[in-house]
Amino acid sequence: MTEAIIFWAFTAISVTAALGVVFNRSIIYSALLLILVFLSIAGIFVLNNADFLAIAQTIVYAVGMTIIVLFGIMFTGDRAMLDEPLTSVRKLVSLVLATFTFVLLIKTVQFPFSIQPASQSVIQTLMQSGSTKMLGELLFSQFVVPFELASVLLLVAMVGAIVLAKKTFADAGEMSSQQLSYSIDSGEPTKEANSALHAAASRGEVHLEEVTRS
Amino acid sequence: MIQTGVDPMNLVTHIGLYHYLALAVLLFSIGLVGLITSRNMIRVLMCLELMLNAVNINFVAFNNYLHLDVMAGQVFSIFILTVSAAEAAVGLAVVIALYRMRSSVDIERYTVLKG
Amino acid sequence: MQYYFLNNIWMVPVYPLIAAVIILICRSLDLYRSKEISMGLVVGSTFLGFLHAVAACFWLFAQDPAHTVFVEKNLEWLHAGPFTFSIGYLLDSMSVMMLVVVTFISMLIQIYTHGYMEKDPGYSKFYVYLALFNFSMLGLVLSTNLFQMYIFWELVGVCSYLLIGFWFTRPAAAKACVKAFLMNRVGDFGLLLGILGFLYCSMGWWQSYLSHNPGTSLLSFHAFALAAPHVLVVAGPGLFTLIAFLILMGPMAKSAQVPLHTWLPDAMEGPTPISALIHAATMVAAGIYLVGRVYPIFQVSPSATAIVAVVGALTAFIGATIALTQTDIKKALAYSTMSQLGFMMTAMGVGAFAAGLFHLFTHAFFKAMLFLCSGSVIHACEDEQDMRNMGGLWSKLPITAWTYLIGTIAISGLIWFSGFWSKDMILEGAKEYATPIFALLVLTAFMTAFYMFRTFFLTFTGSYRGSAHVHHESKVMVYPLVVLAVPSIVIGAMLSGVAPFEHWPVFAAYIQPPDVTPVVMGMLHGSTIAGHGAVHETVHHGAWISEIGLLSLGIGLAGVALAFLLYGPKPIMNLEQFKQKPVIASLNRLFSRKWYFDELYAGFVEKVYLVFAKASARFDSGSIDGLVNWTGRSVSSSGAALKELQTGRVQTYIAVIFYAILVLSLLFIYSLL
Repeated sequence: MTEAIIFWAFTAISVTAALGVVFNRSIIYSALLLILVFLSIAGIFVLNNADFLAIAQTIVYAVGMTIIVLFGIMFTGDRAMLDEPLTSVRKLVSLVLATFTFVLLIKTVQFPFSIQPASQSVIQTLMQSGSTKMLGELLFSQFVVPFELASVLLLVAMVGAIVLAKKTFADAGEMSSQQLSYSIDSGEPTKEANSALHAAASRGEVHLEEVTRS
Repeated sequence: MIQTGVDPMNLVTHIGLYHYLALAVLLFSIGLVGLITSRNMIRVLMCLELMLNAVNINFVAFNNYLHLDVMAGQVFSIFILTVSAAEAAVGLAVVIALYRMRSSVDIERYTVLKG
Repeated sequence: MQYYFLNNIWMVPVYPLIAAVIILICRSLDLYRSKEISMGLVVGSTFLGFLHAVAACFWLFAQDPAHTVFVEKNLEWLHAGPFTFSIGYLLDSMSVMMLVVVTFISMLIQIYTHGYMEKDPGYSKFYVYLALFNFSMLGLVLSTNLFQMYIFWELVGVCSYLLIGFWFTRPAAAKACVKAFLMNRVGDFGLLLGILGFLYCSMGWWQSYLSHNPGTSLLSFHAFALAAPHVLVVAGPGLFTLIAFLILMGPMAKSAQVPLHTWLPDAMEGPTPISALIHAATMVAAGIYLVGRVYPIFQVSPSATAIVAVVGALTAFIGATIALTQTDIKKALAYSTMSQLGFMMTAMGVGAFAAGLFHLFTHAFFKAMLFLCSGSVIHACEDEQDMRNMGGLWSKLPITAWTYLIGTIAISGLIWFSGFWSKDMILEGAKEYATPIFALLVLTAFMTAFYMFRTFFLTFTGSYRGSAHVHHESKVMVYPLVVLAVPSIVIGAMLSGVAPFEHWPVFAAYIQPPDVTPVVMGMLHGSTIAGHGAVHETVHHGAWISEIGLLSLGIGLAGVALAFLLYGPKPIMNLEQFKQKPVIASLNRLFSRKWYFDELYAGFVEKVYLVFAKASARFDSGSIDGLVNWTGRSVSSSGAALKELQTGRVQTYIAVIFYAILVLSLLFIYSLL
């Protein structure tokens, strides 16, 4: 009974928050609602004997991920605050698609799985020390290779993220002419592009003309 | 339906595997809607994380109900966690780099492959 | 020894071919520069062929004339299902006669060419063409079956085209050679349709014939005597007459019968030697030769022979009427050729098979001589061809004048020169067949004598009316004339079995139409087939004095007298005034405008054919090209439409992927895939 109440509570919170993530006009509110989703999912994990995973979820997602997302939102400035509406055709198409996905998957998961109750020793271990011990045993014996690979992946991701997000034109001459032309062709150049352009013009690589916009 | 532990009489009070799977499916679908209809790139990434979390719920629920002796489901869930975190980081780095190009995170502005 | 000549008779066409190839290779590699070598090669090859042909002739005629011996060998060249195409040589009295004539006259004309074309820059090229023509004509003569003859028929047409258009930088010559070729093409098309129709109606018969007689060929000439009645039964009289007429279309074009005759006068744009060789003596005779070879087709159907006779008689008459009004000496001779070819065709039509071929034989000699004389005159008058600007050339060109006189007498059938005998035989045959045709031929004979002597008087008597300086005759050009004069005088009498020549072979005995009784085949030394035909009816020997002879003599003399009175030294009336009289004027217009055939054809092409052709072209470019273009356009427009699928938005692509996964999983679940 308790399980049911907790489950339904967490379900309600996560679904509502998820809907809020998708449909809220302001992206900051979406990010904050995302925290709520992550936390409620952590609760679901606890209900499923995955206590370590619940804490890991909280740390990685609810804390770390949120920080990254918020940083991203802050970097991308004021214009990203409000979302513009889509054409109704696209909304319809995507709703239809999602509904189909939902119906199909619901039908799929109605498969009669054979539930196996766990052995007593496992239940004892779980009740005493939680799932951390068992997870640790598994991770370092059977799944050690993926574990190591995951760490390499994290390293690579870190390096990649730094490289991608590095500000490459603190010194104005580093912006390639291709990047310059791209940014100018596509609309309003950023302040960085502008400064790079003027620096290049002062060096004589580029010839600037004043174009009046009608 | 009987063996999944879904008892039509007590669907509300007796929680079984089916409930968790249904929740995961629902979150997945909501995430899919957001993925396809968002104009803000960061929102797209957030919905992607939502979908990955739904999958995580799936793994953990299966592990709990079918193979609790072997915690392989949760191990896989840890890995999904790791990878999705890494991918989210890189994705946001890409978003920022793109923003520097066009000073916009509107995904409608990035249609160079059109036509 | 004799068998060597017979079994290798196929070499006779090959000699000039080898000469042509040698000249082509050596001249393009510039291995020699002297003109005499080209001439020597070609004349030598023809001379070799002549000797070979004479040897074969002697051996063949040494046989008893009661049997017709022939030598035939076939090589199977192509197989296509039930159809086998064979190529080979057929040596019988008809082909050996043609071989001798062609090689002899070719040889003389090739010698003559040396004098005529000496200063022409295309000298070697001309000799190559002459050698190629020789090869084609001799191959045609030696053909065993209708397919092979068709191939050589076309080859001869090509050589004629090349030779007529030899001076192709002149627009008249360029037009003339194309006209000749196209008109022959029309005839060849009819011939091909006729051949195919004949084959279609008799395919099964030929299969059984070939299986019973190995070594013969499909559409072999020997089997025509047996095949033609079979086709008549299968096709019925109406269709058979149509097939016969279609086959006749080939000779109609090649031998310049009405209505496909208009190319022959225009072909005079070519150099005179080839006018003599091709368009007087040999190529135009190929049509008559073909009719002779497929004679059973006409023998079994009276309506077919009637068509042949009528066509021939009309040609003779129309040719003669047009020749009355010609002022160009070569054109006059061309229409004379057309008229004489009409005589030959009429002979074939009325059943006087031997008469037609005999006339072909004699006509070759004296017509070639007449053309060569005219060439000599033209050469002496510095390329002047209009007879109104000639006259009084007797003193300057004596030998030419004498030989021209001999030729004119021969063609008019005046005395017992060769033309008399052959024309008499034709007239006898026509009298037995149908009186209107006989009357037409008699009238034509009168006109022949008249216009030929007209040309003689205009050219050689009177006083010189032209403005050029007349040269003396060239020695090289005179020798062939003298050589040709001999057969023009005597060969008719020699081969008719009359008084001094009773023991000579009689032409009509050896050249007989094929008989329907089966032919017995045998093997000859050296693996060729020798056959023996059936015995034919006794041959009518000619006589010095006969009814028809007196009649033709009379009309001939009447024609000469009229020509003498009108064109001789003292004309009795003013011709110009005479031509103004109403009936005469309109007749004159009709004849001098060549019976308006050219205008008729031009009008037909313009009003009917071009209209149809333009409509077809419009249909082709509109509908057919339109269909193709529409396909291309629809592809590109569908591409442009499909291009819109690529929106460039990542979310669209994600949606498509999900949709695809959905659909596929549904299909898998419900076991549709």
